[in-house]
Amino acid sequence: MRPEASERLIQDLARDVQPVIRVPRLRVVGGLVAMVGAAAVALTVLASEGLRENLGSLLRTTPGFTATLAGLVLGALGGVAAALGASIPGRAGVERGGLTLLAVAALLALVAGPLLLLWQASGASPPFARDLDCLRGAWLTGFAPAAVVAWFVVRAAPHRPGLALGLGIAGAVALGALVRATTCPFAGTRHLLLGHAMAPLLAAVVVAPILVWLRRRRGPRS
Amino acid sequence: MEMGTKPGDEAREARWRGWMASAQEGDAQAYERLLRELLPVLRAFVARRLGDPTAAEDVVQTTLLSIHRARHTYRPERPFGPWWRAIARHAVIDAARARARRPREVSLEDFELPSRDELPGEREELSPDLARALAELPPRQREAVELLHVHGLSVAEAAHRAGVTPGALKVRAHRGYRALRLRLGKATR
Repeated sequence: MRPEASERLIQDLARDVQPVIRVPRLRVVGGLVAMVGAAAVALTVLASEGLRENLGSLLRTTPGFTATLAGLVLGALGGVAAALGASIPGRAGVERGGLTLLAVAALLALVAGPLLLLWQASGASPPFARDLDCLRGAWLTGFAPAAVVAWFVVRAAPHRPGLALGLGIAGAVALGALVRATTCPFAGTRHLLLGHAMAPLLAAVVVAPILVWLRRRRGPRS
Repeated sequence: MEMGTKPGDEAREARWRGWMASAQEGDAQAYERLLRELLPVLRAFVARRLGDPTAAEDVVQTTLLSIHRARHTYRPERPFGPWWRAIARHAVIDAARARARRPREVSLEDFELPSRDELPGEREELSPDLARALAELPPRQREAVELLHVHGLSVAEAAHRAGVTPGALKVRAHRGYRALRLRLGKATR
C-alpha cells in the first residue's frame, strides 16, 4: 500500500473539516436518563394507584422476588452505563463496568430469582394475558428513558451500534420492568419471568435491530 | 495520563488535545498538524497489532477516516490518547475479522485484470477496448475501478472520495472488474 495516499487523505480531511457539536458528557446524559426514567416511574406508579400492598412482606419473605427485583435494578444501571460507555471511543472502563453489572443482573433476574421462586413454590401465575400486560407496561414505562439512550447512541460513534442500542434499551426497559413488578399484584414464577424479568431482553432483541436498520438507512451511502 | 509515560508524551498529549479541540471548532490547520503528527504513531500502533505490513496502511487510512467521522465524540477535558487508540483498535479488529472471514475477497490483486501498468494515469492513454469497456460499466462500478486503478488511490482514500465505506468500494470494484473481464473477453474473441 502507498504511504503517500495517507498524506493525501490527511490533506483532504483537513480541507473538509467543519465545526462540530460535541456530544454531551456521559455524566450529563446519565443524569438526563435518570431524570426521564424517574418521571416515567412516577407516572407509572400514579397510574397504577400506588405500589402493591404486600411489597414489603414479599421482599422480606420471598428471596426469589427480591433477587428478581435486585436484578432489574442492576440491569437498569448496567445496561444504560454499558450503552453510554460503548458509544464513545476510549470509555471502555464505563462499558466494562456496565457489562459486569448486567451479567450479575441477568444471573439474579433470569436464573437465581426464578429458581428460588420455584423452590419456594411462591403462588400460582395469573393467565398468560397478564404476562403480556406486564410486558407491555414495562416497555411503555421504559420507552422514554430508552429514547434518550437511543438518541445518544445514534448521535455518538459506537463501534457496534446494534450492541450499544440493545444494551441501552435493555437497561431502560429493566427500569420499566422494575416499577411494573412493584405495582403488579402477581408473583408467580412464570409471571415474574415472562412478564417482568424477560421484558428488557425481549425489548433489546426486537427493537435494537430495527434501530440499527434505520441508522444504516440514514448513514453514508454504500 | 497513563502510567509509564515520558514527559515528552505528556507534552505531546497536551498539544494533541489542544489541536483536537481547535479542529472541532473547524480549525483546518490544527487538524492537519494533529493528523500529521499522529500518523507515524498510528502506523506503529497498527503495524504492531496487525502483524501484516501490507494491510497496515489501509487500516491506518480507515482509522484516519474513523477519527474524522467520530471527532464530535472527543471531549477536550478527557485524554486524547485513549480516544484515538480505541478507534484504531476497533479498525484493527475489524480488519482482522474481515480477513479471517473472506481471506481472498479482500485482495484486489487477486483479480487477473488490467494491472496499473496496463491502466496508466490518464483516461486518454487507455486502449480503445478498455476505455470502451470502462465507459459501459454502471457509474458506481466505473468510479470504483477508476479511483483504484486509473488514479492509483488506496482503498480507504478511494472510499473517502466516493463517499462510501472501504468494504462497499471493494465490492463495487470487484463487480466492476468482473464486468470488465467479461466485456474484454468478448471483445478479444
